[in-house]
This record gives sequence, structure tokens and C-alpha cells, in this order.
Amino acid sequence: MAVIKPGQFNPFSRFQKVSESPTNPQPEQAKREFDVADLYRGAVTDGETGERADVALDEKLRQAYFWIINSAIISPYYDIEYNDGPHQSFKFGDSNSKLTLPSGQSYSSFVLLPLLNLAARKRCLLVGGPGRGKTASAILMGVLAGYQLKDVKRSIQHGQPQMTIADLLGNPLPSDLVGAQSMDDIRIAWRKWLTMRVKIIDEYNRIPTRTQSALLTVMADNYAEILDHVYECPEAAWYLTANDDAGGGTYQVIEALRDRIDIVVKALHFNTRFLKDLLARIEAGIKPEEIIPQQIIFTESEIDHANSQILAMHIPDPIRRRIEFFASQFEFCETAAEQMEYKTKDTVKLAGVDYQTVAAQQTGKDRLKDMGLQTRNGLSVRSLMTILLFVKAMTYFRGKKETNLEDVRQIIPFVLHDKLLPEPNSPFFDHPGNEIYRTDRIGWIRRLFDLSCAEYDRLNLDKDDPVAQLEAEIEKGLEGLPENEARARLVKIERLLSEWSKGRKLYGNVFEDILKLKYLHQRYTNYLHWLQWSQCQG
Amino acid sequence: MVSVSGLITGPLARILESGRSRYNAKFAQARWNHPQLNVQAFADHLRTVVAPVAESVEASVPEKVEEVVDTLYDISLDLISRDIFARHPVIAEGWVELLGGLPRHLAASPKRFTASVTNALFNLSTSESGRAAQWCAIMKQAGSATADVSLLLEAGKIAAWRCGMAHYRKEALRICGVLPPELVCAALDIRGELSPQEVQNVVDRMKEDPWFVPDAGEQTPPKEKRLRMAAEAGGFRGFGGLFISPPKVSFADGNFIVYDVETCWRLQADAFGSAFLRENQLKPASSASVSTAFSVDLKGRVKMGDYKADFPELSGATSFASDGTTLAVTIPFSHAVYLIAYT
Repeated sequence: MAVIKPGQFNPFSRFQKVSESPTNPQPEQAKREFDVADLYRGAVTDGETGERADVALDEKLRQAYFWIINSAIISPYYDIEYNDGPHQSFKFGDSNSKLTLPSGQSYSSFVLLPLLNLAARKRCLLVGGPGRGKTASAILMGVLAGYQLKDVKRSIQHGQPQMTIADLLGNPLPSDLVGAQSMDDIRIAWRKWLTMRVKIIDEYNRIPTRTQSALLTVMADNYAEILDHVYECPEAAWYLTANDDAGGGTYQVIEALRDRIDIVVKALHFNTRFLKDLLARIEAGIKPEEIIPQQIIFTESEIDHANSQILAMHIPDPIRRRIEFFASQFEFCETAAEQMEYKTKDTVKLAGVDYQTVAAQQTGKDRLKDMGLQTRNGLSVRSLMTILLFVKAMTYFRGKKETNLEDVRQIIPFVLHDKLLPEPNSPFFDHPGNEIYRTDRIGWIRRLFDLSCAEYDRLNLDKDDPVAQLEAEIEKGLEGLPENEARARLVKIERLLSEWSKGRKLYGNVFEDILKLKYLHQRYTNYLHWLQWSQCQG
Repeated sequence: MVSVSGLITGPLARILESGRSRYNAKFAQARWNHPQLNVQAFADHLRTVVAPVAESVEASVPEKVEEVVDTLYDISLDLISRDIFARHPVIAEGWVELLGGLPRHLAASPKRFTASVTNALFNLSTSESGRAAQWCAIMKQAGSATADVSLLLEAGKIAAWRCGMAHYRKEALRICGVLPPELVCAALDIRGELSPQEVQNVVDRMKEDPWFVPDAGEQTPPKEKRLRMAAEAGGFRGFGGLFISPPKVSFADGNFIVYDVETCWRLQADAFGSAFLRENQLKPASSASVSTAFSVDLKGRVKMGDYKADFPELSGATSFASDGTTLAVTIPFSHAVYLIAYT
């Protein structure tokens, strides 16, 4: 007599080390039917036919995360904190250093972000002192992507001062160089790492500048070029490592290359309280990258699929608005130009003028409150796209359908780590309690986001955002819009601008709003012109 | 850590030696995760189970032996960490017989074949009516009828039904119509050569009569059909059964529903075994229907159309239900369900 109990605990499921992990389980549907496929389900998972295809990819990603946390990393830190309710915190020392005990499932950025990068197929920089596991983490990602360990290790590009473009990309075949009548006759022996979907550049700031430019082409445009021959690379997740990314490498990293890095992860120090575990691992000769369970290794199509699922994650409008509001704070520089559109930090930079000098001319505003004064630059479109992608990846990883504000708050500091340059002379950093943000860039960016959200709430923009209302009106389309309605909307825009011009201080968010209003005004103006023309034609 | 390479000989020893650091690291990791991992049990398992399988693969498909050993090593470590081999010795026996007996199938798809065989043996061994040893024998026979692992594993589903997993009946019968006839014959343990049409006739008859046993039907003189006690299922929970009190039975949505004061089960039974699936409700839905094909009176006389037979042990029946081919009866002083069929 066989007894099949719905939802019964299966002794074999305990056996699967990977699924033991406290991932983020969803309530299980009670099993209602006899199923012959159950015959081959149980103790051993089948890595060849996708028996675990029923395991969602986000769950697989979490299983990979928890396997690394539990089996590969000896002293993980839970620095990405989530709270499900009230949480406790304690303060220590004269500096009132705060330790929080999160009440929700929290994560280690050093493990989580490289994993998200694998699924998002972007470019991740691992920074930190020697021996902190940066390269080991990158290698783990290569193995998780389905490559043999030896192939991953051989594909690592080790930055060194003598590295040439040929070392990086490949060589023309010597015999062809001698006999070729044209460039087309020269065959290129491309380096194998270019074909891989996980690319690892170790100590990238030790690569000579000229070779960095060749690397930039591969990173930015996904192709390599030698002697007019082009090799198209597959979509890949990149991992770059650096001991010191603040200019301490052998060569200065070219800005364009640095700008292509999407997310920065810090390898934190080894907690000496875990020395016993380290000793046991040394004695046992355990190398985590050699023993990754098959169940958590992704196929190429699984990574592709996970990537599509990440893109399908929904960012609700109120959350998107807060990201917009935050991002609007930084580009504006009131004294950079005469015309509104050019009042940006980029204008100052292109003019070759010291930003501090120009910024000092901005008077009449609360210099402590103005978040724009804390940075030397604004956010590029690439940065914004990366924020949105990684926020979606975070939502996906947490098994949620929609992004929440905490996802954004946790991701933004790592994406903007090298993108948002602090202005050390800003009054903000001199304010008591804020000095620490001169060295703590993660904490500073998170603080910026908190300040931005507080300002957003103070302005009550969730409920009263006239620009959003005007946006919603135009998104319905102009086709068939009566002339009087178009004129009424023009008047509404003009009234709003008039109202704001009376005594309202000009901050970054207002700057973006008034430019958006100008855009809307132009759309209606052009529409009215067309309407009048078509009436004349009619 | 134990040095396992010194304990065994043959291809397994050679492979363990060549990948010594990696295999030792895997063992160390498993020991790390499961401090109770029995070193001696693992070494014995390698010597008595994995080594003969490796030798068998080496003899047939030498180029795949390393991959096979790698797979078996990992799975063995996991299973021994959980004491699964010790608690279910049939799995280790099945490895030697099936994995060692079908080296080409194993080499063709090491992980899939090993995982499927292991899981099937576990499921059969934990099912009260499952007959794991018989399944192994049938699978070995079926392996000679096909070299394709997928086809063999499909045949394994039929074989599992044949070996007591009654709840696979519907899907197994469907698979019978898809697989090559010779493989169906092997999976159903029908001895002797049958033409495709004869195989189809057997399958059709099994569809009509859940109590028809093909081997008996084709190889021995047909029994005289009569009403007979076909099976008994359930039992007192104190003795390893399901029911805390004498159950009752009804019929709803094409299934027998058996329930006691605590739980409600769906019953599937045929000539090969019986299976219970727990229902969410405590009692059958009010829409339960009663078939008039069978009846039983208080003296235990069962009637089906013109046929009748006396079953004194069923006197005083507390409930009965029929699905048209089988009569399920419960009585006041037993925790079992009695199944009567005209077969």
C-alpha cells in the first residue's frame, strides 16, 4: 500500500543541501493528484534533463546565494538590511557606532551583488585589500555560469604593466602576416576568454592605458577589433577586481572604462572570530569552487531566461517617482549658465572651470539642505538604467512581484559608488555627525537617498504632484484634443510656472520640473500650430 | 579524513587517485556539513557498490568511466551523509544490479540515470505495496530491449505500476500505448514473445479489468471468472496502517473515498497493489454517488448482476461502494477495506 501525503516531508528533500537553505519559500499548494512522474523525484536531483525545471530561477538564484553564504564564504556580513517589523539597534563607543539587528532576511552585498550581476549580465567591480576573496568570488560566478573550473581560471585576464592588446585580444597568425595581400587575408587567433559569458579581469587598474582602451571596446560595445577584423562577443557578466580603485593601481583607469562599471562591491575584512573555521578549511583542503552543487549551476538559457524575468519585474509609479526625485538633485548648477537648460555641472566641467568656485556663487539657498551641492557631478543615463536594472534584479531575487522602496534604498549606493563623486568642500560634510561620510561612500549615498525621500515626503509629492498630473494628461495623447482644452492646459502650465517663480528657491528637482513643464508647453504649442494649420487647410 | 584510494582496486582506485585532492575536498566538505558522516560506511560503499559499477562501465564504455565515478561519488556522499543507504539497503543493491547491469545506459546519462534509479528505488521501498527488487529485475530485462535511457525510464513507470504502485495505473496505461510493444512486454514482465496486436489486446484488457494480471492471463490457463476477494487495503494505524477507527467507504468523482473519524483518503487499487492519497476534507463530499453494479447484504452475500457469492467475513458491512468493476466494503470490526471483483 503506497501512501502519498500532500505536502509530506520527504526525507530526501533534507538530503538536498542546497534546498535546505532558508531561501524565500512560497506557500506550497497541496498535492491533489497521483502523478507517475513522482517515481523519479526524491533523493537525487537530476542535473541533465532539467528535472528541477519546476524550481523557479529566482529560487535557484537564492539557493546559489545561500550555498555560497553557508558553504563558501567563511565570515559573511549582512550589510544589506531588510526589516519586516520593529528591529533592535545598539550604539557603541564614543562615536555612537550603531549596530542594527535586522528583523527581515538580510543579505551580504559581497555575495548577493555579484550574483545579481551574473543574472543581469552587467559589469561588477570587486574592490578591497589583497586576499579578501575578490578573485575567488569572481571564479565562483564563472563556475555557477556552467563553466569548468579550469576554463574559468584560464580565462582570467590578469592585469599587469606589460599587458599588450595582443595579450588581451589575440594575435594575427604569423604565417598570414608574411603572405597576406590584404588585411582580409590575415586570420586572427582570438583569445578564448572573449567567447565566455563570464569575463574576469583581475587587477584591472594594473593594465596599461593603451590596453585599457582595447578593453573598453570589448566592455562597452561587446566586440574586439584587431587589424580590421572584428570579433563579436556574447552577452556576458563582467567581474573586475582592484585592490585600490582610488588611483592606487599601476595605471590610472581611464574615465570611460570606469564609467562602464555598473556596480561596485567591497570585499570586507576577515572577521578573526572565524579563524577556527578557516583553520578547519585549510586542514581539510576544501576549495568551494571545486565542489559547487550541480543544482545551483545555471545553463546559458537559464541565465538568459532569468535576465528576461528580471526585466519583466514591475517598478510601481510611486517608487519610480522617488527615483526620479532623487536623481534630479545632482546635475543642476544654478550659476553654470544663463539659459536654464545649460545650468548643469556638466557645463562647468566642459568649461574647465573649478566646480567649487562656481558652486560658491550659488547664494540664497540653504547650502546644507541642497543635496546637489554634495556632489561634483550628476547622474548619467547609463547610471539611471543600471539603477533600474539592479533594483529589478533585487526584487526578482527576493521573490517579489513589485519593487519596494527598500530595494531601491539598498541597491542605489552600490550602483552609484563610483558614479556620484562627492564634493568634499560641501557644508554637508562639515556638519557635525556627517564627517564620517567623507570616507563612507556607501553610507553617504544611502543617506542622500534618505534625505531625498524625506524631502519628497515633505513636499507631499505622492499626493500633490502637479507635473505628474500634466504628464498623465499628455500621455493620453493629443489626437482629437479640442483646441480650447489644449489652450487650457497651456494656461495651467504657465500658471504653475508663474507660481513657482515667485520666491521659490531653485533646487535640482524644481529645475527638472520646470524643464519638463517647458517640454509640455512646447508639445501643446506645436499641437495648436498644427491644429490651426489643418483648420486652414480644411 | 579517510584515504579511500587504498581500500579498493580497479578503475575506481585509479580515478580516485588521479583526482585525489578534489575527491578529498568533496569528502571534507560533506564531513563539514554532516559531522556524523560515517567514514567507514563510505569506504565500504565505494568498495562494494561503486567499484563493481565502475568496473562494469570500464568494460563496456571505458571513456565514460571517469564521469560515472564522479557522479556516483557525489551522490554516494550525499546519501551516506543522510544514512539513506543504511536505512534503505535496497538502493545499494539496486545500484549494483541496475547501474552495474546496464553500464551503457548509465554511461549515456550518468546523473539522470543514477538519480532516477535511486529515487525510484526509494519510492518503491517506502511504499508498502512496492516491490523494489522486482522492479530492478524488470528494468534490467527492459534495458536489453532498448538502449535509449528515456524510453527505458518511461518503461520504468509501467514497471513501477506492475510492482505495486497502483496509483500510477492511469498514466502507465497511457505510456503502454506509446512505447514499442517489446518494451511494454518487458515492463509488464510478460514472458514469451507476443505480436504487437497481442500486446495491444493485453493492454486493452488491463484497461477494462483492473484485476487482470497479464502474465497469468497469457501464460497459464484462464481462471474461471467469479466474484472473489481481490485485495485488502488499509489497516489499523497502531500496526502501521492508516486508520484510527474502522473506516467507511464511498465513491465520488471516479474514486473510492475511505475515511475514519480523523482523516479521509482516496483509494486506488488494482491487481498490482493499492495506494491511498490523503484528501483535504474530513469526510467525502456530499456529492458522493453510489453505483448499483454491486451490492452486499448484512450476511455478506455479494451480488453483481446475475452473479452472487458469499463472503461471511463481510457480514454486517458498515458501508460499501463500487466503481463498476470493484466493490469496496468495510465492516465494524476491521480497519481494512475489502475489495471484491468479478475476475
